[in-house]
Amino acid sequence: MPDISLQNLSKTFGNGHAVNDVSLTIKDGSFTCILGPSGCGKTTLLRMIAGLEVASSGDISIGGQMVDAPANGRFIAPDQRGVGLVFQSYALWPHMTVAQNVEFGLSLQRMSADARRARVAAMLETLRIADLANRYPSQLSGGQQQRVALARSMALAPKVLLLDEPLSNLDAALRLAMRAELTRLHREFGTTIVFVTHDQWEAMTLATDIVVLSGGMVQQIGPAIDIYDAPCTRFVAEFIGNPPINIFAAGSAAAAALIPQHMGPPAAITVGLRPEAVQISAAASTGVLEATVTALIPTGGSWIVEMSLQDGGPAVLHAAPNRPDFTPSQRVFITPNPAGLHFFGPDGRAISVSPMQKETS
Amino acid sequence: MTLLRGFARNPVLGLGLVLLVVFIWLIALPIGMILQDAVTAQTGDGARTGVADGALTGYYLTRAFASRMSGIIFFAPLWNTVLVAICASALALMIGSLLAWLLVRSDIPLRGWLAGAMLIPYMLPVWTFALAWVTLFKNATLGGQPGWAQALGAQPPDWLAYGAVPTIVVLTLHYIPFAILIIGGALQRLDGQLEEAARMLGARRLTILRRITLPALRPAVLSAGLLMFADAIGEFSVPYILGLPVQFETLAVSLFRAISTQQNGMAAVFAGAVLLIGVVTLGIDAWMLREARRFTTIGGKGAISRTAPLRAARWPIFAAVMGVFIISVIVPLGVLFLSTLMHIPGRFTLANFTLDYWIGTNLPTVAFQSGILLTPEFWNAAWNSLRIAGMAALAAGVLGLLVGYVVARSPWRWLAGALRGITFFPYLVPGIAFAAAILVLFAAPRGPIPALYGTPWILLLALIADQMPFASRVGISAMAQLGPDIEDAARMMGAGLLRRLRSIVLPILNGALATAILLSFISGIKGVSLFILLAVPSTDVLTTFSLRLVDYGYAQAANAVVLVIAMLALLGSMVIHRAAGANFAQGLER
Ligand SMILES: Nc1ncnc2c1ncn2[C@@H]1O[C@H](COP(=O)(O)OP(=O)(O)OP(=O)(O)O)[C@@H](O)[C@H]1O
Ligand SMILES: [Mg+2]
Repeated sequence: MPDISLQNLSKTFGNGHAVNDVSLTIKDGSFTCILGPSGCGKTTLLRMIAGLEVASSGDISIGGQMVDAPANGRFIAPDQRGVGLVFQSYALWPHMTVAQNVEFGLSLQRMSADARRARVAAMLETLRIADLANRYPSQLSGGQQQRVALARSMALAPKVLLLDEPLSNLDAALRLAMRAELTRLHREFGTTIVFVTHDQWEAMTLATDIVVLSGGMVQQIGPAIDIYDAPCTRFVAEFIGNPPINIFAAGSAAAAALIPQHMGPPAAITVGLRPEAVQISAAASTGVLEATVTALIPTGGSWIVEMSLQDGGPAVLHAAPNRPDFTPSQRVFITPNPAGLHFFGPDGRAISVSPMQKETS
Repeated sequence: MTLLRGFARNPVLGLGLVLLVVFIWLIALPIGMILQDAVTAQTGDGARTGVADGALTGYYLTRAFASRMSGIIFFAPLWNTVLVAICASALALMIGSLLAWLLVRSDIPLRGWLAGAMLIPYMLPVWTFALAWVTLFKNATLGGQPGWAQALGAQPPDWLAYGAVPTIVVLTLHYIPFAILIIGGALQRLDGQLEEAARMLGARRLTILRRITLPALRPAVLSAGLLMFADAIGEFSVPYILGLPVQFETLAVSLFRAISTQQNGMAAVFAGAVLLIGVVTLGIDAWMLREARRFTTIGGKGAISRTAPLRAARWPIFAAVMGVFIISVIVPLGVLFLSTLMHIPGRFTLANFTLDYWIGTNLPTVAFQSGILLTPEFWNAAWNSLRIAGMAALAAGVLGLLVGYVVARSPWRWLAGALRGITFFPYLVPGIAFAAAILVLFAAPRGPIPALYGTPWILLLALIADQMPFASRVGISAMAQLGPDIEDAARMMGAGLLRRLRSIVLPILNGALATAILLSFISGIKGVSLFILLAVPSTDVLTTFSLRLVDYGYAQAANAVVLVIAMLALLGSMVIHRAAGANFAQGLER
């Protein structure tokens, strides 16, 4: 029921648009991620859904109820929206114990003392922090604080839980643990979760749907794998993927070599090629591009081969699962796997190529 | 309509506007009115000004600046004021810098203890020293009981007993700790590596001092000098006590006299002059601080400043510093204390000692026939002091926090700027000029506010306004540490503005608030310039009560009251020192 729907939503601060004409629907029960680089308006968008920020124009409705529509002066206060927010900084109240932090919201709802105690105990149990009940936030580790912040929001049984960069302040091991925790909570409570991150790995591994934001505008919405396989814009292609996609500038010889003939004048088309779609061989006959290996970089489980093209331009990266048997300064030839090739017009939008056409290139 | 909705949604705006109106009424309005009084014919001045009451007139300005009387009325006090202020701040700066260097950078014995002890004079009300001086050096020019010097057979000349010289000495003693605080603080923050780098290049000690250390300290030294100068301009009690017998007047005293003789127009001119000098001086200071900030390099890292060995001079220098301590703490407090125990000043025979002035009854005086501790007026004044200073400190602390809250949270930048500016303004205005302005506002009923002169309210309001610069700065910096998320988290759960202030903001900031309130309280207890124009006998606070006793010639009683104030101030300062060491120096610096 509580679909969240944003219509032409904008927010301007004195110095320009933080969120610019965003329209999207977040489905009930989904685990949606808002992904974008720092400063792109993620937090602002989240705060508008929470009701901490008033939209400049457009409207927001939650579960069919209009909660913010500046055009007709409608605004529902944050606590009336059935929404919980976990802050990037956790924002635990330093003068209250863990239990008091969780209890505060309940006491504002005039819940009886017994019911409050029971609810607090249950929440602390759910998040596995029952033994920390009487500690103050300053006596907790980052991961523990995070759990308290989650418990505090979830104690009020929100239908929608908003999380602002929930994992960014945690170390790698804790991230994995917390990620599992979030997935569990999502399954157990069926809560709609919207979380914000600038980390594509987090987004890809957690979310059922991803909203890519840039400069306050929506770039693309869809399941993680669609966004990786079929980026709508050059920005999305470059932002998602690690190591990042190889870009061949419009007009360069390399780009010209990669663009199929029927696509029209190649001078205006920028080409992207995913690193794992780069196939390298030492034999000239099969290759499209000629390059020199400049470095072999181990990245733990896999390898990156860094190459420079004969005719200049930025380094080309190839991702390989096993140790490649090339050596630096060796001459190699590159063949693209058509599935990993993407073409972008001068406006940065993707130019679609049917798989069959790709085959022929 | 949208505006109304905005207020409902964001009560911070409403709170901010209410605060702004309150402070315009309490700070901007009185100052505007007193400046206006300087060019408006006052009631009863018709014959002199030649225009109807309330009409525009240049009479007061002409009389002060360009009449046959200007020399006596205005320029002599102006000259005295500037002379005293310049001499006292220059002397305090010289002695203070030297002491600061000794306390921070040398291996003087008992350094830690001295660093605290040398600050004590600044915690005492300044006219403690003036009364001690009079007790010691009073001569036949002033009737009544003799001074100690006189009793011992000497006859101090007038120039030593009264006027410019003692005023300068007393103010210097009072300001030395202030100079130590500011310059010593700067010296401590100065990166010792700057000096070591020069030493590596082969510079000699004196060269380093002249070329590196002094230039780096210049902003602090200039700032300390300007702050002391501005404070001395508005100083009332010392020249009042020490200048009276030889008609030595400063602008603050002239202002006081003009008001007590109902010359409101002239009072406005004096207040305007004091205000102008204060605003210009502190304006220069504020501007210089901004300039200086551009090239401050606060080192800190690895700045383990080596202490300079004093070698053979170590003990002689220690003796000299102890000498300053004895002169500025032991002697004045000792003299005052002994004087309250003696029937006839300066006669050291056992029969002459008595506790009568504290707890006696049936003293052979016209009034105050009981010892001070048995006098109802004393307890009345003490109660007034506690309650007015206490309530003002509490109110200023809370208002300061609210100002800090609005400054931090207001979406309207101009509102934050306006509040910050107006609450800071009293800092630029010497206390006595501000009191004169408050007096103009509250002397008559205005709108719904009745005439408050003669009630404790006028003292309370004046003190609140006077404390706002400090209180709002504490509030602003405390709120700056408190990110908005902490509150938004409560807002998400439906906590309104009041609930958030009560349950979140106040509990988190209560430490800062308590220190601010206590510091305000002490400064209210020992303040006199602000109160002297506003108190009447029934609303006397301890400070004005003791000045009244001085006026009536009850030296022992006056000294006893000042001792009580000094002890209260000292005790309070020590409590704060214990409770919040770091904030202590901060509080003294203002
Ligand atoms: N209260 C505000 N006043 C003015 N500008 C703001 C305000 N809040 C955000 N902005 C601006 O809006 C833009 C988006 O900010 P936002 O905090 O939403 O970014 P973000 O995507 O959450 O970034 P990050 O990943 O760094 O948290 C930024 O350019 C920011 O400077
Ligand atoms: Mg953010």
